[in-house]
Amino acid sequence: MNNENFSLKGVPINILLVEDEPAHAEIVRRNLAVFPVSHRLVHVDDGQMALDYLLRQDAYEDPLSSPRPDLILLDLRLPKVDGLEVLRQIQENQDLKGIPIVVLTTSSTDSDLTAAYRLGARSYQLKPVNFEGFTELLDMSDHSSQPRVRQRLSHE
Amino acid sequence: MSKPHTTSRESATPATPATHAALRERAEKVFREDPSRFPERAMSPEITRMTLHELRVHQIELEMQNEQMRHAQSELDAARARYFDLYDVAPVGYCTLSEQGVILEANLTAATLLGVERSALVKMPLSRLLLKKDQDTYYRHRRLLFETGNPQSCDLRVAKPDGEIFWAHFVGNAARGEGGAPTCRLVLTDITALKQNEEKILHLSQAVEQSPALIVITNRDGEIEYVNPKFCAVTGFSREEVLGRNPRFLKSGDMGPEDYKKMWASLTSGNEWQGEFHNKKKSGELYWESTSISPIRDAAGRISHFLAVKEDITERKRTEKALQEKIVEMERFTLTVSHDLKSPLVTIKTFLGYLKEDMKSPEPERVEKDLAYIQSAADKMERLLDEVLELARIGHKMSPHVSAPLQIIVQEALELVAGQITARGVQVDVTQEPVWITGDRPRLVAIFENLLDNAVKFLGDQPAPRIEIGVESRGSELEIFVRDNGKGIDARHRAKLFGLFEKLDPHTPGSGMGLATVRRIVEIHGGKIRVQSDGIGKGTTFRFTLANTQLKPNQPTPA
Repeated sequence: MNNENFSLKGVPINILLVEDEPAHAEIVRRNLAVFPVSHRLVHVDDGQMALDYLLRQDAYEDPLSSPRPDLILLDLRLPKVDGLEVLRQIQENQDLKGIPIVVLTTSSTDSDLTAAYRLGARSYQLKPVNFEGFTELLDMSDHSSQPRVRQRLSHE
Repeated sequence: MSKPHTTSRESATPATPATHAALRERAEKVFREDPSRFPERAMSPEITRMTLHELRVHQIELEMQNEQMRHAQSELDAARARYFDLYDVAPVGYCTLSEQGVILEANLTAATLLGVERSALVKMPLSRLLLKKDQDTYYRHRRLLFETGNPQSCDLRVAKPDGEIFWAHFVGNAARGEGGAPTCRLVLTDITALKQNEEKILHLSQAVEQSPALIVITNRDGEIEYVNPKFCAVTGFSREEVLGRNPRFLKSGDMGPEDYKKMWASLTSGNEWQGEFHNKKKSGELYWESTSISPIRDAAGRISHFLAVKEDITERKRTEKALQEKIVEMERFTLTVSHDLKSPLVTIKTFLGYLKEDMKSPEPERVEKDLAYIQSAADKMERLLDEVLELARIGHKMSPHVSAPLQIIVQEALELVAGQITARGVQVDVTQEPVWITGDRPRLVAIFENLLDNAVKFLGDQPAPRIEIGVESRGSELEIFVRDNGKGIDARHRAKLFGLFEKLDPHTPGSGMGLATVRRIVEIHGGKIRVQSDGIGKGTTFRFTLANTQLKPNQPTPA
C-alpha cells in the first residue's frame, strides 16, 4: 500500500486520542501529520475527559464541536479513570460500542492487553506507533463496522 | 511322684510286730497305773467264756478300724505329696515369712525367681534379697500386715545374688504357723515385662499429652473418648465438655456434607483420611486445622476407635495468604515500574530519531523542541528511579524507633514544605493534645511532608485555604488525621489514590509516588491509612493509625 493512493476527499476521519504523556501524543500527532488521510485529532489526557467527550458531558456537550470519533486510540494507564474502565463504559453504551478502539501500549506482554481485548478493543499498537503501524491501524478499519472509514481508505 | 522333702509331722508307719509290742507295753503300763478302771471280779466259767468272746470280737473290730485308719493315712499322704508338688511347680513363687521377716519355707519357683537355692533360702531374711531403695516400702507393708492382719501388696525390686535386678509383685496374707505363731504367706511374681510396658505406655501417653498437635480419640460411633491438652488449649473446650460428643460440633459449616460422607466412607473401610477442616472454637473464632484420621483396630482386627491428629494451621494459612499478597504486590510493582520506565525510554528513542531528521531541516526550533522532549523524558526517568529506590529503602533501612510528640514531627514536616504553605497562604492548625507517636523518625516526618504537600497541591481555588492536623479515637485506636478544605476527591478515583505512580490530575506536578510512599510507611509502622472526601469541592481528609500511638497527658507537650 502506498500513501499516494489514498483519497483525500470527503469528510475527515475523527480520531480521539486518549494519552496522558505529552511526548507520546506528540509522536501520534507527527505521524498523523505525514499521513495523507484527512483527519481531525482530538486529544484528551485522562480517562475522565475521554468519557466526558464520548458521553458529551460538561465541556463536550456540543455534538458539532465534539463529533463522534471514527477511531479511538487509547492508552491504558491513565489518570483519574484508567483505560480499562473507559473500555468497559464504551462497551456498555449501545451508541459507542461499535467504534473501533486501538490500545496503545509500551509492551506486548502487558497483562492488561488480555483484559482490553475482552472489553472490546480491536487491536493494539506498540509505542511508538510508526508509519507502518498507522497504515495497519487505519487498514484495520476495513474490518470495522464503520463503513465510512473503509470508504475513506479505499483506493481511488 | 517325688516324696515330700520336709514335714513337721510324723508319718504313719505300718503296724509291725515291734510297734505292736511297744503299743502292748504302753497299754500294760496304763493298766498297771490305774487298776481300779478294771475291777477284778470273780467270774463264772460261763461269764469268762462270754467275756473272752466279747474281747476277741472287740480286738477284731479294733484291728479292722486300725486297717481303715492306715488306709486313710496313706491316701492323705498321697494327696499331700500331690499338693506339695503343685506348690513347688506353681507359676508363682510362694514363701512363708516369720513376723521378723525370715523365710520359713519357699517353693521351687520362689527359689528360682530369687536366684537362691531353696536350702539356702530357708532362714534367710527376705530383706537381704531386696534393693536397698525399696526396703522401706517392704518394711512398711510387712508391719501393716502383721499389725492389721489385712492382706498387703506392693511392687519391689529384687536384687538377685548374681547381680540381676527385677521388679516383683508381692502379695502377702496373714496366717498362723506352728504353735499359732503369726506368719505371712507371700506370693511373688516377676513383673519386669509388665513394668517395661507400663513405662512404655507412660512415655507414649506423655508424648500424647504434651504433643504440640491436637489429638482426639473417638469410639467407633464417633463419640469423643479422649482429647489432649493441646486440643483444649486451641479450641477452648475443656475435656469434660467434649467427652462423649461427636467432633462435628466443631464444624464451621464450610465443609459440605458430601465431603464428610467421603471422609467416613474412607475411614469405615479402614483407610486413613487426610484433609483440612475449617473449625470453630468455643469462642466462635474460626481456625484451620490439618487433620489426619486413622482407624484403630482391636485384637480381633475390628475397628474400635478413630484417632485424629490435627495441627492448627491458621497461622500458616495466614502467612501463606500474606505472602501470596506480597508476591502479587511485588509482581504488580515490577510491572508498573518497568512500564513507567519504558514510557520515557520510548519518548527518548523516538525523539532521537526525529532529532536526526530535524537536524537536517532549516528550522532550528524543531531541534529545540525535540531536545526538550528528550530532556523531560530523561528527567522523568531519573525521578522515577529515585523514587522507586526510596520506596524500596523504606522497608529495609530503618532507623531505630523513637517516640516523639506529634507536634514536633509535624513541625519538622512543616519546615520542609514551608515554601508552598506561605506561597499559597495556607492556615495550618495542629492539635494541642498530648499525642506521642513512635517510629522511624525521618519516615514519620515524611508521612506529614507528603500529606501536607498533597493537600497544598489540591487546594484548588479555595480563597481561605486551611489544613488541620489532629487525632480522634476510633474504636480502641487513635487515628491521626490531616484535613484540608481543598478540591476534594471524586469518589470514583479514591481506589487509585494510593497506587504507584497514580496521578489523579495529569496537570499537577509530581510523579504519583507521594501517597504510595505514605501508605508504605504507615503499613511498615503497623498502621492503616484511608481517605475521606465528600466529593469535588468538599475537601479531603486522610486518616491513619500507627502502632504505639499514645496519649500521654502527664508528659509536657511543646506548644
